[in-house]
Amino acid sequence: MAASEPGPHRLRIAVPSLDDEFWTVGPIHMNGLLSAVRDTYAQQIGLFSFSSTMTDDICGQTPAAELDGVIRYTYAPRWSVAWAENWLSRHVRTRDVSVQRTLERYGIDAVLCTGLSSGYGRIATLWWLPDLQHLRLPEMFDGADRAARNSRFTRSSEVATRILVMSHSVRLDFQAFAPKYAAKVRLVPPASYIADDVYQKDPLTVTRLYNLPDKFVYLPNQFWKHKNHELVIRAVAVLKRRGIQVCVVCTGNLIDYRHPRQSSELFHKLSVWDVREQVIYLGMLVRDEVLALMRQSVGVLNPSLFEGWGYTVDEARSLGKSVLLSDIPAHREQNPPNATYFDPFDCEDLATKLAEAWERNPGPDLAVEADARLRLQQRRRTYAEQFVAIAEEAVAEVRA
Amino acid sequence: MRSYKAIHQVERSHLVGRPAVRLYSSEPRASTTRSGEEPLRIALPVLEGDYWTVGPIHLASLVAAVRETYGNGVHTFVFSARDPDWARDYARTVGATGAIHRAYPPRWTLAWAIKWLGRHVSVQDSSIESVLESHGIDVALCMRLTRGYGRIGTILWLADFQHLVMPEMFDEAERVERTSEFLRSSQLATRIVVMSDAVRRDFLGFAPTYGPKVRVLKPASFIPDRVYDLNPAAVAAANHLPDRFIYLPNQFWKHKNHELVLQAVKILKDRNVHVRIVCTGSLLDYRHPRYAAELFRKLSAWGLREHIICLGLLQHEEVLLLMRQCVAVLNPALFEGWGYTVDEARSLGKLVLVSDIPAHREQDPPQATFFNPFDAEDLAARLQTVWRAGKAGPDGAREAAAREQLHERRRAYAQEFVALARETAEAARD
Repeated sequence: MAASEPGPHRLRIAVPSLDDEFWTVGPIHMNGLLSAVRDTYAQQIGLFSFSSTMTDDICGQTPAAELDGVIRYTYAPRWSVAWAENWLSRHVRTRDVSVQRTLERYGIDAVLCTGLSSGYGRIATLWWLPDLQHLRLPEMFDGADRAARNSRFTRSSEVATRILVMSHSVRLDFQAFAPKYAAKVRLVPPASYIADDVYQKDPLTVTRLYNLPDKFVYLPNQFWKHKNHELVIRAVAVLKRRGIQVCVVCTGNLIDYRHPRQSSELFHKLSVWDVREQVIYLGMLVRDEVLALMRQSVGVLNPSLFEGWGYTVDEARSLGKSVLLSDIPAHREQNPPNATYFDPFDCEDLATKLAEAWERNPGPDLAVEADARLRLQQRRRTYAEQFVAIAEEAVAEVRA
Repeated sequence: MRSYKAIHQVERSHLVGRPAVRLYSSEPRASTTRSGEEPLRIALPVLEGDYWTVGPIHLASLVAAVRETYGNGVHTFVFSARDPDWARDYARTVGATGAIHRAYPPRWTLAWAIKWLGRHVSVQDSSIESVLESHGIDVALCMRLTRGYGRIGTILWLADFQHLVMPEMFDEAERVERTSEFLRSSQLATRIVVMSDAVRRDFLGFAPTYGPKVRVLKPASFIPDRVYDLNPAAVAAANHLPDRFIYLPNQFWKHKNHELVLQAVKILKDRNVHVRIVCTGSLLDYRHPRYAAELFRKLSAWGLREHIICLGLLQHEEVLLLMRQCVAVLNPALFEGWGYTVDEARSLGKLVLVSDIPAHREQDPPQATFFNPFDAEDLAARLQTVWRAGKAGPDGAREAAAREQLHERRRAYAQEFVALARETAEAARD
């Protein structure tokens, strides 16, 4: 626990402790941001996590940056005086005084949130908006989920001091969604966090641990329906019929709460199309293993129908890996070197490009990797600077 | 994201929802009863299949057994607050006569306010009662109750008390919610039906006050005639399965204990005995959202990808065909209120390899092999024996005998259920 009086930091920022078991990449994002800020600003910026639950770890993984404190708030029991005060404040002033006071006690200047129903007074709020998928791909959601997202997003837009998006394409979507609040939007493209020892480790230790072949294409996406795994199964089956046996390794969580049967149905297709041995599902690995598999692969594949920001694509780029990407706005915008694009609705197109990628050698290309690593340093610094500048701008605004 | 609570609330709102102002009912079939008396009319709940895939299968089996035995002497209606088209489709899926729709009055309207008040003042729901009465319903089968249905009898169907027997499978909030829901429902229900004596014993420990309401009704599986006519080897071939395999058709709930099977197969592999296991079923356990993914990691780490094949979710008919094709059906569950797959295997004259737990012992399928569900060595030894001795494909004589017995068992199942329904209807009217 950190001292609660405001310290020597030039700015104190709190970020949510994401403990959502249904959304794996959220905590990885958060970790990437914290470590970039810490590496760039050292102790100039105070970093805190906050949550209403009792989980101790930030995001269920080892934090890449040491935090200055963990803030926990608990709401007053229902029907108590404090509860009534907060209820009134939230409904009349759009302000959650209960959370606000907790944050004030820690001298927090700005808080990053994944959604906001009330503000926190003179504490700046930065709403992190990953994407507006429910407008781009409405068929992926049921009506109730879409309506809930619309109302939550509208409310957050109203309340937030600034809105953070990761790509220009999300910014455009937001402008169409809530033009009234478009002036609050700021673009902050993330840069991945890759621990130093990832580069030292022999990736073959991981492939051997899991009895994998040395050569494979790697697809590290949670099994959300919009991630479009089915296209890959089809493409692999197409190639098999042409006498080309590629191998695709998939990792990630199997859950898509919107489509509870989806991953089970994919497994059935693997068998019916006779590609069980070509498409290997490995389960969920720790991040160091994921990054090792990226390094060993002949290329990283992301067939997604939609992304606000392709996180795995950025990781692959940071390791100097070539990527095989669906032709969608976010991927085009990220524009990693050595990218091949395919039509995410055309399995023949993917099959052809998979076969080309299969010609490459597995394992890291050390020169390319070293170069990517160097660039990553710069990208992470820019990421941190952009984020901190926005936080300072937001703080100045709420204090004006 | 959708937690248990959210999932549950979706279901709850559909199952226990407030009564309708606007009614919808599909046309009941013209009824001519053999006995000449008024046909019994039973309302059925919606058992959601996305998260609990065996739910609709249970319901369809019960409805089919009643229809086979009573023809038009008993009518069943799906009672739901969902979209009428959806409810009609669901009724068709489970083979019910029709659907009865009830809508919620929109929030903040007078009708809504009256309902709201009624709900908070009385434990009886007179508007559900009148909806059901206007459709001539005698008795309603329910998964849970927040209020009674007045003079309409209610049969509460309690699957099991897993949250008390294996509390570690649930988080605290869900346990508390289950306990309070079960208590409230048990208090309100006219009768309570459970599938095994084991569950009845758990109930008596849980709420002895309501013990006299409990009846045990052991299901008998529904095997469509087609299943006996189709070629099971063709289904295995279409899925590119090996000729011989042991079949484990369980949803990947954590308590189903798939991990023990991985351990046992690993033990055998290390002894150079290579068995093949085929798993089917939904990969989802909302209580443990990462559980299936972790099993897959072990599958690769232990080098068992060729030994254990996960086939995903199949049509129920294909599941039954794979049962006919397999060497034996395996159920390693740490807990069951009623082993559904075990009963299906028995109904097809298949050998079973089952965990030694009260429900399985009680079901006591012929020539069953039991093993300790906490002991991978024990399972490995039994697997090896069954694998060496067992034959793939149906055994004609055994299957025919089992089919004959199933016929009898299904008639008994239907008769017991209908007797219970009549008893419940009378008890509620008195």
